[in-house]
Amino acid sequence: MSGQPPGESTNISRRVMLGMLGSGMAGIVLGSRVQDLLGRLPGPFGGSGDRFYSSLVPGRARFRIYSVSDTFPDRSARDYRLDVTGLVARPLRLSLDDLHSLPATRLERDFQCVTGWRVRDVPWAGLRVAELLDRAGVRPEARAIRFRSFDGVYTESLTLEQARRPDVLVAYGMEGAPLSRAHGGPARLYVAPMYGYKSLKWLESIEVTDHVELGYWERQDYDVDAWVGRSNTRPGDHPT
Amino acid sequence: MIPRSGTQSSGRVLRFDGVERAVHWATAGLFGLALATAGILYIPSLAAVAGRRALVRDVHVAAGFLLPVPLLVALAGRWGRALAGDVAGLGRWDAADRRWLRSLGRAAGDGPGKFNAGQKLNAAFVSGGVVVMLGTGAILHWPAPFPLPWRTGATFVHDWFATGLVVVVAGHVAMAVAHPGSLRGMTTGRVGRGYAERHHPGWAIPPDSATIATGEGARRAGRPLLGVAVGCSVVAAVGALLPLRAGQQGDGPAAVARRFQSALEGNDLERAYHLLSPAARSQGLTAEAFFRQQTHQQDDRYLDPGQSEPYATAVTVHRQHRAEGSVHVALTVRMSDGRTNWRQVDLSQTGRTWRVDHFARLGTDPCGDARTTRPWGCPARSGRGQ
Repeated sequence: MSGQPPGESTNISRRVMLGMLGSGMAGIVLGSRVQDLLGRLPGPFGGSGDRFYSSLVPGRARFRIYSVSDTFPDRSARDYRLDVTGLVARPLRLSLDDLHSLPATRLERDFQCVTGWRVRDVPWAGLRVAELLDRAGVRPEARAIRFRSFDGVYTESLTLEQARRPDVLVAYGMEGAPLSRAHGGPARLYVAPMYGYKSLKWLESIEVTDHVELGYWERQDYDVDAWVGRSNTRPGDHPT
Repeated sequence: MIPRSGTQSSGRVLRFDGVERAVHWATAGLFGLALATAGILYIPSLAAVAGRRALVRDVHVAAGFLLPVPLLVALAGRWGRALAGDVAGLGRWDAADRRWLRSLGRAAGDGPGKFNAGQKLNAAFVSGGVVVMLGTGAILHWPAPFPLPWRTGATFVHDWFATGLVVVVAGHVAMAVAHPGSLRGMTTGRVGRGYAERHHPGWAIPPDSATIATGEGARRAGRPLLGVAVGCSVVAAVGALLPLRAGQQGDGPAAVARRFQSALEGNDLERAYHLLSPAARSQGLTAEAFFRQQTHQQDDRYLDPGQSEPYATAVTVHRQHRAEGSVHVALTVRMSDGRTNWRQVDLSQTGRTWRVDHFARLGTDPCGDARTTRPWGCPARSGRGQ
């Protein structure tokens, strides 16, 4: 028996709901800072670890795994081949061992997705695309590169000038381990200064062309020149 | 004495009518769907097994925006009277509820009514949580109007509230499994009389003077929950009206026109022509009309003196070849540094919409190039040189 009429006593339901709405709004405004701080911590809440249990920790500054094909592509390290074709003097077909035998490059750079998440200081291992282009011998009329994925769907392209940058790699290692299938292994493209969608996963071929052909995401209205912080209506992003 | 809010039937009491049960299970199904698809989107090892990310994302977004719909439909008409009464009751707190909370459910005394304080807390938490999930989900789905840190913040909140909701809903399921008598209320609609008297004495045996959770006072008490329901309906209506895959970066006609102009100014012509297909859709400006317009306005200028890179000053269409459902155009782009570049654009028609299939650099006027294979309809060669 309550002395107060209904609706005028302390309404805990209302308090709970207002509290949740308030914390939700505060989280929208402040969440990116909190996530930034958490991302610097070690351990499951921080920016390291890809084990199943740590993938259950919400709001981590870690990779989200995207694929564009119906099935998740799979190719073993032994069966992997990378073709370099098109406007080249000597077309190449390289195994993973061949890639490892070429001069390696290591980079520690952020990975920024156009949808907003960013993983800091990711150690990448691979070789420069420029190295492969030099070995194949680019013909004078070449202007651009078309990249294809063995998922059968994903394509990307760069101008020849962009592809020759020292921070554009064919990556076969990430965070001290061979590149996993989820991250685009055995080998993927890593275009450090651009948004993640330019870093095509499951790289199958590098074709030298005379013009830029729009890739999978560009045909869905994403920017062709995807410089981090200077494209895709995300002017606030720090360059990677 | 027959309780006023329950109908006696062979020792069982009606706890939830058909509408309430339908709402509960429809909501549970949508929540399960949203949760399963969220798991696939979020957990890499599940993503690897499932694949089909675009489909999974669409299902997740649809299930999320539909989540409040069963409740709202039920509350919209007279068929939801019992539900509206329960919603009101869930939002009404009295001294007995606070005693129940303080004793963590062990308080005797006058005992809980149709819902104990734990159930009321659960309802409040889930309602507030769903509103926050809908709001942050809307930001994730239509990010264009929001500043970058908010988009990141919305992702962060969406992740954490999802976790909170999963924990609370898991607790709700565990309680139901642990109390089969209670679960039967939501499966068959009826609970045993003994169960009702033991767990909800204030509902099963109302004192003569009891205010049952219907009528004006209760309706006032239920206002917070009904406010939440209205908020949900606004978000759900917006979600239903806008296409599921509305553009990631703002696709309004003005935005497209601005991006098109800025692409031309920045000499990013591939981008400019790529933008023509959404522009054609949203502005009724077909690619064909655009090129015809360019033919007549050969001096159309896109000047930006502040730019250090060479920029396009004029686009001129020189050659067109038309076939059933396709047009090939050869044009020149005059640059601020005096150069003139030849470009080729291939367009194709689907229904009434033209889209740009291909944009390529040409070395020279295709009619001046002996190797040209495309039937450009070049003028007789005798008439002019290159």
